[in-house]
Amino acid sequence: MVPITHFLALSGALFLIGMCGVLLRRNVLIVLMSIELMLNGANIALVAFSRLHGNLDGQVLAMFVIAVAAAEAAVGLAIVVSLFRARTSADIDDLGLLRD
Amino acid sequence: MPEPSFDLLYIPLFPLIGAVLNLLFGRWAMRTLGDRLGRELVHLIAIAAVAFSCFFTISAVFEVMIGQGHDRLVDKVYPWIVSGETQVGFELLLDHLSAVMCLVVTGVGLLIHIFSVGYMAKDPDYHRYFAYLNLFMAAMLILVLGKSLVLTFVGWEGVGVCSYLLIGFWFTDDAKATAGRKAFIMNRIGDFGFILGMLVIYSVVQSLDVDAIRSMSATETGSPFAKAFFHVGDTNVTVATVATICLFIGCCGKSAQIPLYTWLPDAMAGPTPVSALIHAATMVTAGVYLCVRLNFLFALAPLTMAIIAVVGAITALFAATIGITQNDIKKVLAYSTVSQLGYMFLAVGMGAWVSAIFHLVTHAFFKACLFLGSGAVIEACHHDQDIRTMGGLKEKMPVTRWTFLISCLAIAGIFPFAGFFSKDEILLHGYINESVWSPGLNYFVYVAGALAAFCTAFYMFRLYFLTFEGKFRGDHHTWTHYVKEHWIMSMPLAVLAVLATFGGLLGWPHAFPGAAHMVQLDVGGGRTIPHLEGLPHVLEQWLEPITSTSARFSGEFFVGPQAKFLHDGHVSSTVEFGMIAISLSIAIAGIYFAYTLYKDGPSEAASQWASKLGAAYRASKAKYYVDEIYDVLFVRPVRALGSVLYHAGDQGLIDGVGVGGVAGTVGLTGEVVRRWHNGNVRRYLVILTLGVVVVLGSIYLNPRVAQMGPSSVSERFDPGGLRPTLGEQNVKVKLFGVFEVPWFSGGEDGDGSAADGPPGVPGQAGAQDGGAL
Repeated sequence: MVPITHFLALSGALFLIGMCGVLLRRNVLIVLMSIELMLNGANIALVAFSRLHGNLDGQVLAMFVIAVAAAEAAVGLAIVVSLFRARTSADIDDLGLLRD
Repeated sequence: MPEPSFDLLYIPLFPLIGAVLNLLFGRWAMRTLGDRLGRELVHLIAIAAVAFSCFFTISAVFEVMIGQGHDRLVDKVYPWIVSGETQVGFELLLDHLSAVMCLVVTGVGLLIHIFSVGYMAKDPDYHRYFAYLNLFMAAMLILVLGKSLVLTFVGWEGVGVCSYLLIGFWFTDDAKATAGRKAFIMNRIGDFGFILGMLVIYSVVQSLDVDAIRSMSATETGSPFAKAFFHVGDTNVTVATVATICLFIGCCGKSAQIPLYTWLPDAMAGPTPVSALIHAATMVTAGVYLCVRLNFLFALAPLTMAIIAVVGAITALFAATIGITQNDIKKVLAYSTVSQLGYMFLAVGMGAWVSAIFHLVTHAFFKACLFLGSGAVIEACHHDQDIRTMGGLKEKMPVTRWTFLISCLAIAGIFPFAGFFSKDEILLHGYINESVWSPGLNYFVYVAGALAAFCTAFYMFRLYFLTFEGKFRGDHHTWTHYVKEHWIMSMPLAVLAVLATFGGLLGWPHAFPGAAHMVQLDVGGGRTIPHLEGLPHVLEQWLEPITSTSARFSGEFFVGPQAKFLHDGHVSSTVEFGMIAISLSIAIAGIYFAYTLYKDGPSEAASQWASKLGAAYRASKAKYYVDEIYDVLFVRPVRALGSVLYHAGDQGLIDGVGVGGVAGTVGLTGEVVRRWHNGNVRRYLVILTLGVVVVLGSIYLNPRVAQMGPSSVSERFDPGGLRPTLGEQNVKVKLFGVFEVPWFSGGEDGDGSAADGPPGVPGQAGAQDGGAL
């Protein structure tokens, strides 16, 4: 049986990669994708622990996360599209509108 | 006698409602209903409000008090201030004294409201004027009806505010606004004394209810007022003296006595009906009213009484001499008012309470008439107030002329007009009410009063002759285009003139033929009952319940005529007739003197007299430079102090350090913090992540959490062994070891947890090692 450590390592790696993407990339689309990565990293951890404990709660939560992620992706992409139309750019550093 | 409950509240409530209505809807009414109809509505509301309270007062006094024989009506409206032992009720009291005042205030007030319709007819702020006037009536009636001194003080302040508002009614004129401020500030000085007086009284009585003060005073020498002392240096001063002196300072401010009188002549900046109502008939007499209201307390303080008598006498003479030389018609009347108020205080100081109130009433009649008459003259002369440019107005305004003449005769003290009786009574009592405490004072008071009477007769007739007799000295245009008399202004004048003529009958002298005396009336069967026959001194009888307490005092607290002047229980006729002869001849001399000098306008003789008197004339004309002296002594130093405080205290400390400091600190903080808030979303996220890492790290790497061990955590969370698994894996440890915090170096805790902990413990120890690296 694959020990839980491996799952957690994968999950942590995915989460960190996602986080780096969110923090370092400028393109809004990439940022959105990185967020998906982070969510999936969390999902893996949830499912792994669910299996470990023989308890379905974690899997239920993972399903929720997937559903929310789908909705978030739809809304997020819509925002990106309208932002792009408005600003002709998808660079996250250009979005300081509220500050100025 | 039981005190019947009676809704006295309505007396001040009606004018208050009128004021509120006019303040809220007056402008709206004048805009939407058109100017004419709007004005009609405004003054109808105002007059109706006063008329209601006037009729209410009349019915309360004549039907309930006289008709049903009640001495006092009390209205306990609600408990106003309740704080521990202290209880101040909002209670109104209509007794014999406040009944007199209420009748005067509402009656004269009603007439002046009616007069104002004519006088203010063209004013754009019509509604504001009537609202203030109504507000004044409400405040004045509260002052008069207040059963507790606190309530009286509320009215006292209320009339002060209304006086300020009405003096500065035309506030766009800077001089008028300044006059209003001056009146208000000088009154505040007096009010300070009033408050101190109330506090002193409260310290003794533990209440400010007039009845409580009376019952405390009633025991005379045994009274705590006379027994308790303040120590001033080496001398002991009774509480009564301190309290009454403080109250008298308040009266000085409100009733324009030396040294606080200078606001009253300046108060003439207000509309003339206001001068008639507030600065002649009602508000300025509040001080006299207060003294008579607390006569039992004042009687316990012979020192204060002597001071009041002296101040009153000096004020009467001082103001009268200024009145001689003034050329502004209203200024003459203003100084005349100050002088007459001096008479009233003279009477108060000599313990002649009834005479003071008597003069208050008659003065309200004739001085209101004089002021309204001057208002009519000013209106007719296109708002010119200088009597040097008047003259000969008798053919243009006959009603005003006759009423003015009657009032002049009344104030000069000519028989049988009202002023004759009241002023004569004051001078009489000034002479015969010699106090054992201040022997000889009566001579001074009498001489000052008599001299002032001469001046009064002189300046009033100087005013009359210069205004109405002789030839018109103004420009031709004014003469041909004068403003005609209108019934709405003549009617109040006529009523007041009638009152000024017959008002004296309220106090028919005992020496006169037909005066009341007791006769034994045979009722058959040989039984006789005492019966009063003839004209009584109405006011003396009426006010008997008010003055009865102080009338019982004896020894140094005795007030009233000395025994040597009395004959058969009354002042002996010889003394009284002698006094009457003297004061009549003084008045006639004054009038004759004025007649010779001014019968056809200012004569050569008049200017010769002026140059003969030289310095005295100039000093009088300059009002004895009192305003200038006050300016140097008080106004400038206070202004200088104010300027210093403004720059150093207000601008420097409060604005600079306080307000500016707070704002500056916030601004500086913002200046620093705003650099973080740069709009770069990714940087926010970095900080957010770092924050999460720090929070989680400080929880999981905290030795205390580690000490709690997996078992205690698992008790609270999942019992399924989550922690052991994680602990074994050691994943988190290396990750979080990077963010190690300084407090995490204690090896003992780690050892302790290692000893206690189940299988996960080695992992925790490993975490410590990783942290150390």
